[in-house]
Amino acid sequence: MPPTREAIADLMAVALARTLGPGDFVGVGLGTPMALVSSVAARRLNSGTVAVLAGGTLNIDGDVEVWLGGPTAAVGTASGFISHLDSMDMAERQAMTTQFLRPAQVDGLGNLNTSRIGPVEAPTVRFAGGLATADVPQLLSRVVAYLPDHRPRNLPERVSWVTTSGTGWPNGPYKTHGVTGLITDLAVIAFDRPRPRLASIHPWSSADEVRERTGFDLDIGEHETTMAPTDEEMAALLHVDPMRRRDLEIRVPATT
Amino acid sequence: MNSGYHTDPGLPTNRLVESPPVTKSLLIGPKGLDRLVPDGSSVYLGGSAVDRKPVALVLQLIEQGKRDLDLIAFTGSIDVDLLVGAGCVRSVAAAYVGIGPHGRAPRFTAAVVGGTIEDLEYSEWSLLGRLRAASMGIPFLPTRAGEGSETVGNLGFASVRDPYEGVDYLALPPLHPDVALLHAWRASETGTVQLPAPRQHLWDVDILAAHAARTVVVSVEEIVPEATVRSEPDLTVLHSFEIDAVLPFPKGSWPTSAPPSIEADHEALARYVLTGGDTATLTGSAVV
Repeated sequence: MPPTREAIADLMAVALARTLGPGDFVGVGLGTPMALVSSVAARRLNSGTVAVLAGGTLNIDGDVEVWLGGPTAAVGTASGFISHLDSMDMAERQAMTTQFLRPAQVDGLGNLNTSRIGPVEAPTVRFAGGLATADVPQLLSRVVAYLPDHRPRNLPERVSWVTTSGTGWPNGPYKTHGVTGLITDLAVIAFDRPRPRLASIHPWSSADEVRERTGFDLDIGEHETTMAPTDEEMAALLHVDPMRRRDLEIRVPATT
Repeated sequence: MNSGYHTDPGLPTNRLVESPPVTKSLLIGPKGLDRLVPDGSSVYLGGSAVDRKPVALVLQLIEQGKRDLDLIAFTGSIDVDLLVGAGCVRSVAAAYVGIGPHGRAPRFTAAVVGGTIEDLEYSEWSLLGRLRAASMGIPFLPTRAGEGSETVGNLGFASVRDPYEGVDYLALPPLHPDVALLHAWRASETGTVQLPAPRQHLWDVDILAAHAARTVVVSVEEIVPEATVRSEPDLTVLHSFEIDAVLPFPKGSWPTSAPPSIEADHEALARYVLTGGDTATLTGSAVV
């Protein structure tokens, strides 16, 4: 039976949240409600040991709706404000550890496209642009991409335009690991070098379906089934996102 | 304004506060704006996707029939879209152009796909890094951000070797816009500009752009007496010596927000996007 939109959103949100742990500092970009919900849920699931910065506002606990109201709405709930240039410095000095990015396309090297389809002189599609997506995988320790529409066009052998190089520089002065993983509506993929690996398939999918719907070469090998959201995880999602903002990024009807 | 004494609304009404002699009014009207933004200028547009966009100033430039503007915006929105749609624009340098949650900017997107403007897409670090280098007065800013990106590579920056560790970095050169157009809350006639607290997200990027630009024009919700800005100096974000001109434009950011006066008008923004950027959807507003 195909999954519901809600089931996809819940599993993707907890899969993202599971990539965070104590000591992580996650920066949330503009217009990515799934990233916000996952980050705030992870903060709750890790007893406040995950720090979350979104829209210049730090560590609101509870409904992300408050967060979306900006600094004025956050008075009484946020622990503080961080100006944008300061947050960029935090990323560059790696006081921030990670970020979740939502590209239009991802390829097998973890390269991301948030810019355009077709050549720069004559694109057929121009996306809004990626803000810091080109930058943060070269600055933060690690970045995880998510894309709730797993199909060959979105996961091609090579992205149409490399907005972001997915390759980090673990032994360089910044110690970056680049884009380390991808969470879709079908699976979790780990960007092992040089060959990406299927880490887990969601309960409603199969290895054959993932292979068929992935445009790049993927090591199917040994993989697990993505663990369904636990009661504790569902309680965290209910607490931080009672209005189900996380559903907004899932296509309707959901990919089956 | 020039009498030297004003009643301070933040203090008991019988108390007079002395102001220094007013040396220069920075108030201008549309003609002044026309002079400050000649055709072919590079113009930084302040604000972010649905906040503090200098829409009234943009509409003035459109009415004045500006041509060949090179727009620069950290997050371009309806401001960029209106100017592109009106044929005022030669190129757009931005890390994002879109109408926030309402989707892509229709006229900008059509112009890029149609090849009628030059699309100078930046990443966040490359654009703000260039403005920071300009603001700091340094020859370049080294960074690893944007390494391996075609977007950043396409901009043709040189690299520089760290003389201590021997590692190569991108060297972002300073970017000095000819003019920065910003919308703020209030200002005195002499150009002390204030934003309310707590400040909106990305307010500091507006200030960065002002420090980098050669000429700074600020539209404000209201012009207030000198004593009013002096009653709350912690709200000051730009000083008189940092700006060149100020214009009163109440609701001058509509349909984007201008705290504490107006919130973003999401219905108007959605209507604009759904009609493919039909400027008729903006008529009847306070700004036209």
